[in-house]
Amino acid sequence: MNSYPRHAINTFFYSRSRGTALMEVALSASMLIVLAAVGSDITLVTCGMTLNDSTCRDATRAAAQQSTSAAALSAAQAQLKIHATDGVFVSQPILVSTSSPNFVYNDYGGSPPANTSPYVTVTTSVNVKLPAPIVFLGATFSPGGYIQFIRSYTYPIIKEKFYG
Amino acid sequence: MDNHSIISSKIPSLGFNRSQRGQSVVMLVFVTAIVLVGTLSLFAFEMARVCLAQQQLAACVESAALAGAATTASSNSTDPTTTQDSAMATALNMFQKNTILGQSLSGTTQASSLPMSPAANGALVFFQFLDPVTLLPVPIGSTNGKILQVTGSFGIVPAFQKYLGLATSYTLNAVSNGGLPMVDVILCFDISASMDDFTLVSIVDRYKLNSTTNGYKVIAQNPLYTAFGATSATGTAVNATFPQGLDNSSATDGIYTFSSALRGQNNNAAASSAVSADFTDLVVNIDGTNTFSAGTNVVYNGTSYSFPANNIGCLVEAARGNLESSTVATTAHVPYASWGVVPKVGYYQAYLQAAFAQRHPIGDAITAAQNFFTIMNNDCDVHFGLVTFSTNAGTTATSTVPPDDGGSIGNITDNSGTYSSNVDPSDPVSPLPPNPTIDLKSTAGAAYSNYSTVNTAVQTVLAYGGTNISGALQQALNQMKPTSQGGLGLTRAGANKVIVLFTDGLPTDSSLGGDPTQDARTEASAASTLGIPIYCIGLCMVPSLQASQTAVLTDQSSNPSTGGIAGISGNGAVFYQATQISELNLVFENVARALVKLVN
Repeated sequence: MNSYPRHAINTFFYSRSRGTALMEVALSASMLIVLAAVGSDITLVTCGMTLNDSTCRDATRAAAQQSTSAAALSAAQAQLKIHATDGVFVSQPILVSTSSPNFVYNDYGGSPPANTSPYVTVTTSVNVKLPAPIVFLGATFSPGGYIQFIRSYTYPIIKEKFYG
Repeated sequence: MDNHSIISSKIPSLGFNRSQRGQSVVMLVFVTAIVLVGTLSLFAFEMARVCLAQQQLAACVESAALAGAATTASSNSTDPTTTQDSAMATALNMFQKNTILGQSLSGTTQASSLPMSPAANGALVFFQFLDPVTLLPVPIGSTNGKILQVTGSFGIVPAFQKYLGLATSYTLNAVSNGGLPMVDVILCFDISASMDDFTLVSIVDRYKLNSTTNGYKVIAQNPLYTAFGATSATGTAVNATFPQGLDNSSATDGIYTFSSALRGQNNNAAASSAVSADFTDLVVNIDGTNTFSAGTNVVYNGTSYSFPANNIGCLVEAARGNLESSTVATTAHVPYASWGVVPKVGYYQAYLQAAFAQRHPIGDAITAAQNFFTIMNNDCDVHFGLVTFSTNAGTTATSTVPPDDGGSIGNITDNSGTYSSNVDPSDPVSPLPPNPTIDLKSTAGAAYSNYSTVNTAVQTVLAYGGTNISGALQQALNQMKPTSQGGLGLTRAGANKVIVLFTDGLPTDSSLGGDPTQDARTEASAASTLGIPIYCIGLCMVPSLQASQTAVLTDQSSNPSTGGIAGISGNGAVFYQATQISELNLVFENVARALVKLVN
């Protein structure tokens, strides 16, 4: 009988079984990592979109209650501070700019055309840093690996400045 | 046993079979996970996107509802159909300015019925007006349609529609109601003497031109304030119509002096023979011109009374009661024949009727206040209160203004003891000018809104006395303050409490006994504590005085010692300054607009 050394058998079989287990663990772990990454990406994207939207809406609402452009801008900026974020994954919302078309305070000098309301437009943005890159969602990717969400709202000016 | 047999016999114990099964499972799970996790991820993303679109649609609909409601509130039309059509057009215009998920809404159109089926990435809006009490829709044009309900629909297209096997688009809906909330509003209305300072008048010295006729020297014309050369920030105490208080002109109210001696008797008497620099008569240019250049015919009680152009004498004699009959006119040496005027009973009342219609700014303020009442009444569930104020704030519906000199008011001078009043014909208001206050009613229902009562009450007021803003605010706050805090508790549960202060000047009197301006600020602080905004409307047509009025009424400073009444009261109060009479309506409409909000 041709016999194989006992240690050769052990080396052949035992090492392969250990490798399989490691492979299972590795694959499972990688799947878990992917799951976690995708999950956290979606969570952060959702948070960023929703936060930017609600911030923009609240800022525009507040601006629409003011009777001057300066007061409207100030009110909008105050609202941005209220919507605090962690500052790491989701940045603090900011006004894209304080000039047209991103910030518009149009009271028509107190004489709006027929069937037209004085209005204020506010545009805000939020940068979201994703743990794992995502190449869809239609978002703008900034150079630093951030997704930038931009949102504009237009609301009617309720407390108009009176132009005599 | 060969080697393979040996190995095979070892396999079970070494787990070799398990390893093969594990690999299959691992691969299966791996592939499934990629597909499942990917699909779930996309689905989760779609759901988040739908939620976001829904949130954005709701905000767009809110924006439209606010725009429409604000248009309704600030409309200068009292025709509900016109106002509601305009509100819907404005709301649609505002909706079109927004976007949802980056899709422009500029192509949005108005749907004629519900439910709506917008195209993919398109939107539709539907408007209806609701009764604020029942919250049920009412037809366009109904005076009960006070809340604009906007329903918006958007056809969202899933981003991974093909991969996830979803429909081409799904319809999202959102509804928002815009309008004026339930409001209890008290208008504090200034009726001080300065409230007729911009009436166009002629200041006249009536004298005997020759032995048979009177002459009329026109000393000055134009608005009363400027004609008298007044400079006081609180206006002049001289009035264009009863009670005129002409003796006040010799004080700080102007550069001309009234001469009681030269005036002689009020009627049925000839003029003094001396021409003087002092004046004897103050008449209203009832044609609305600076120099009475147009003339007018006035119809009173169905009879026409002629007031020829440029004939100041006719105005003077009519105001004195000297055109009531030919006998009286002849005795008074009035050359009526050469004027082409026929004396007859009613000339005095005809003049007075026309003069009242030409009072500025009080006549315009009354009209604007009535327009404000109508707009508010048309637009929301509102209850009205009214506090008129001059030297004092009125306390009841029949309150009157106290005489400045403590006696009784004459129709010419401020004190009937120094000059007798007109006795033939009698004055329209006797013995004292009205100073009404109408209390709020806490009982719910349109029947208790006071709409008719305040409209009628504000129409009766005359310009006379000082400016007691603190007293007016105290009176208004007392009505709104709960009984548990010592007030009358006349507001309705759940109603927004609002005070609107209208004045043409600065505080000159105070019910609190202190400095009039500081006392007014004290009342504004009390309003702030009670959560009641004081919307301030300042009418100031003298440019040099506008800054001082602004300092007292402004909303830009809430300092209790130096700030403005609107700013100190806070709670969203706004100050509006009108610098022209023609702006009064617009200012009151701005106040109504400022009260607009989303309602349930």
